[in-house]
Parts: sequence; C-alpha cells; structure tokens
Amino acid sequence: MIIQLIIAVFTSILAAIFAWLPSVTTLPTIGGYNIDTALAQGVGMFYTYAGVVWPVSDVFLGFLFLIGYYTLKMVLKFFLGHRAPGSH
Amino acid sequence: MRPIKYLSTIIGLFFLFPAFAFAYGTCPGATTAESLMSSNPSIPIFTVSPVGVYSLYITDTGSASPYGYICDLTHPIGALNSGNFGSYNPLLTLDSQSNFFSTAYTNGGNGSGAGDTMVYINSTSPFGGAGSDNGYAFFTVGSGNLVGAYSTPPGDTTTRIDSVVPVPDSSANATSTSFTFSASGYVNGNDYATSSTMLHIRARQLTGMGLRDNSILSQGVEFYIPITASGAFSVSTTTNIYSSGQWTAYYAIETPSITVFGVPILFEDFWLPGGNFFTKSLAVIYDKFEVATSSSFEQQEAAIDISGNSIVASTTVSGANNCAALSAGFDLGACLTSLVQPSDAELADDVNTVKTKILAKAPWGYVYRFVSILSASSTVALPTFNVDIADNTAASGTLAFDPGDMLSGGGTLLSGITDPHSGKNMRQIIEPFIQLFIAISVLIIIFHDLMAMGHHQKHK
Repeated sequence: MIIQLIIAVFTSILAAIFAWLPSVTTLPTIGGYNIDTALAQGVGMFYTYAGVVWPVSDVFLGFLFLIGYYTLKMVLKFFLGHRAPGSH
Repeated sequence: MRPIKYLSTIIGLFFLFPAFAFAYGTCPGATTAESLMSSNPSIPIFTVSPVGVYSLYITDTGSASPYGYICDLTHPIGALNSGNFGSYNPLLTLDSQSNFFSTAYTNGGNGSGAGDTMVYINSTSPFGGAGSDNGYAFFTVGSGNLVGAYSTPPGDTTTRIDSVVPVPDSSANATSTSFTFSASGYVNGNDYATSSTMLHIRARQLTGMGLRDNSILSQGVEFYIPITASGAFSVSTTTNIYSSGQWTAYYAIETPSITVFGVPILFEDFWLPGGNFFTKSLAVIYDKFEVATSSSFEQQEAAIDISGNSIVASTTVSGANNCAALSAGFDLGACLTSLVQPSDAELADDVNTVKTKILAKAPWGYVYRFVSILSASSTVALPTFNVDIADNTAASGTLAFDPGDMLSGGGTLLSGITDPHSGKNMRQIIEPFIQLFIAISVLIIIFHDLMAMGHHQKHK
C-alpha cells in the first residue's frame, strides 16, 4: 500500500499536469489517406503472415523490444532534459 | 336589371379566363420570382437579363418528366408571351425520359418586358426530389456561351448541417449500445477535402448521474465520422449512453486547416481548450437534449463500475481486506506484504493510468499510438486478387488467388514434417535457436548503446 500510494500520487500528479493536453486516439489523416487505419490493417496482415512464417514474428518481437528501449530513452530525456543519461 | 346581370357575368368570365389558362399549364400568376419561389420552393427559377437569343436546355436523367415555361415578369397572365412566345402553351415540353430538348426565343423586344424575362422549370417530380437528383438546366446564348445554370438541390448549396439527432430540446431513452447520434446536411464541393472531411460529434453530460467514461464527473462521447462525398450527406453512429440527465452536443463539419506541400493533414485528436487548430469547422450546431432514463443493464453496470475500483477491488483484490482484523479475509502476512508490494490489480490500474492519461497525450501520444498499433495482436486477412486471362477466342477465364490459403497450406505442410526421433517439427526444433540469436542481438545493441552513453558522460 505504501509503494502503491507513492506510485498513485506520482502518476496522479503527472496526469493532472498533462490533463489539458488532448488524448491521441488515431494517427493523422494525410492527404485523405487514413494512416491509422492503414497501419492497423498492415500490422494485422503482417500478423497473419507471421502466424505462418513464424521466424518473422520473432524478429518483429525483437524490433518491438528495441523500439520500447528507445521510447524509454526519449521519455527520460523529455523529463530529465540534460540530466538524462547520455545527453550532451 | 337582367341585362346588367348578364353583363356582369360576361365581365366575370373575362377575368376568370387567366385562371383557366393557368390551370391548363402555362405561366403562374406570379409577378416576381420571390413570390413564385415562396409558393413553390421546389421550382428552379432563372432570370435572364441581357437582351438576346437564348436556348434553354433541360436535362434530367432521373425519372422526372420536366417541362418549362418562359414568362415575362412584367406581364403576368393575360398579357405575357404574346409577342415572343406565341401562346400560353408551355414553350418547352419534354417527353418522358427525354434528356435533351432545346428551343430558342428572343428575350426582350416585347414592350416593357424587354430585358426582364423569367424562366422557370417544372417537372412531375420536382428537381432535387427523389429520383431526379441528376436534373439540371442551363442557358446558352448565341453559339453556346453559358450564361446561367442551375443544378439540384435547388437553392442553398452552402456547407451546412440541416438536422441532428437527438433532436434539440428533446428527450430520449438510453438503451444498451443503441443510442443514436446522427446529422444530415450539405457539403459544398469547394469545401470538400477528399477523405479528410469529417463530421465531428462531441456530447457530454451536463447534469444528472455522472458515473464513468472520459471524466470522473460526467459521461462524454466523441466521434469522427467520415463524409464520403460532397453534396448532401447523412451520417450516424450508435453508442452506449448510461447516464441520464441533461446533455449537450456539438456537431461540426471539419476539414484540415493545414497542408504540407499541398497535401492536407488532418489531426482529429488535437482538441485543446481553445479548439482544434489543425482543423477548420465549416458548419457547427450546438444541441441540448435530455437522456430520460438509462437501461437497467447499463445502470447496473455503471453502479458496479463506480464501486469497482474503490470498494470491490479493495475488498477482494488489494491488501485492505487482508489488514481488516474483523474481516473474513484477515491475513497478517498478506497484510504486511501488501504494505510494500502493490497487488496485481493496483499495478494494472497504475499502468492503465500512465497509458491513458500520460503516454496517450499529444504530441508524444502519436508515438505511443504508433507503438500501440504495432503491438496489437489482431490479425487481418491478406488481400485476395484476381487475374483475368484474356483469350483471342470467346472463352476467357479468371484466376482467383488467396495468399492466406496459400500461406496456411505451406505452414501446415512445414509443421507436418517431423523429426523421426524426437517427434518435433521444424519450428519446435529451430525456433529456440532463432529466438536466442535475436535476443542476443537485441541485448548487444542495447548494451552498445548504454556503453556509448557512458562514454559520452566520461568525456563530459
């Protein structure tokens, strides 16, 4: 409960700070082309393909893991600025 | 007295004659276009002002049988057409389904009517009505220079929202998944951006039993419904409404307001308190309505939901129950553990808060949305395609390919090949090695990146 309280307070404060920002539910439509739908369709087709050609799914999982790592770095850099590890 | 009575009868018949003429289908007894429009708004009206020889063309590819009249505005029934048009009879008559008809007449030269001729088109099905949406008419002068045109729908072609549902200041009952929001109106072709014109609907509960959804104070719903073509439109959607009370709704026809190298970019989500600066609202309607009652199922669901996090979860999932000495679930060990270790439900709740209230916020929410789409696990069938085989004989054929079938067939074949000793198929044997190789590769990349960061720090 103590840890949960700390986490809840921390997330609540952050949520309150960013509450005024709009929530993103879809990617933008560019030139009439719905990027969100196209990407979702493409990924769905990829999963159909990877379901049969299984090595592809392992490679993609590794790719997602890497994206998660770089996203985490971006978030840290956003919040910590020049104090983030590796920033110049 | 008798001659006077006959005389009055004759005079009366004389004045009644125009009425008979009108009944047989000539120009109406209206002296202005405005009065004619007000008497029958479905009749398109043209005013041709320059003096000259005109041809009137009427085309109607629908089921209507249009016909037209030419009237002199300054000479209502009884005096019109005598010079230019010959008679009271309809100047233009189209046979049923005739798509082209023309005649020429001279505008002006008829005394005081010079230069002020009105033409109106009528049809058995008014232009703009059902079945005759393709009807149009236009004028040419001389060898065919267009001087005026008219097309359906008659009258207003501005971008607008005509009607919405729920009807403003009305009352509606909420039922599970079937509360309808809809709007109809018109989008002018000049305002329309292909595939980027949306009807934006935002509705929010003002008063009443606010329980859940977008806000802890009230329920709100939001939709972006594509408008697929310019012209008249009618779109609708259904949703769950479980909070009764006063609601307000906002309907807007929106198109992108920014372009990059001429390409319009639509950010649907970027709504800030001051508005969405990436879209322009072409027409807006505000609506207020009342949700009279919620369905019993939704009320129950909402009641469970409001207590879900605070009561049910805390008594059955979190450690609170374990720490309550008088509770049946009292467990001192579990209570002490829960002091420092959040339960799975609490952690899931925290993660959900971080996702929806921090990571999903613009602008970094677009990155999060991108990753979310990539990490989704739903499958979509691969597209099929057909190949037509042309032949110089009468016979021809079409081959249909379904990549999904071909892939699954190949996959089944591969998984059917097994090692005779272990009984494992190719995937079961090889995949662990592939996974190990990928995992080591990813770790090397991350390790290298971390080392590089340390290297930078050392230089600093």
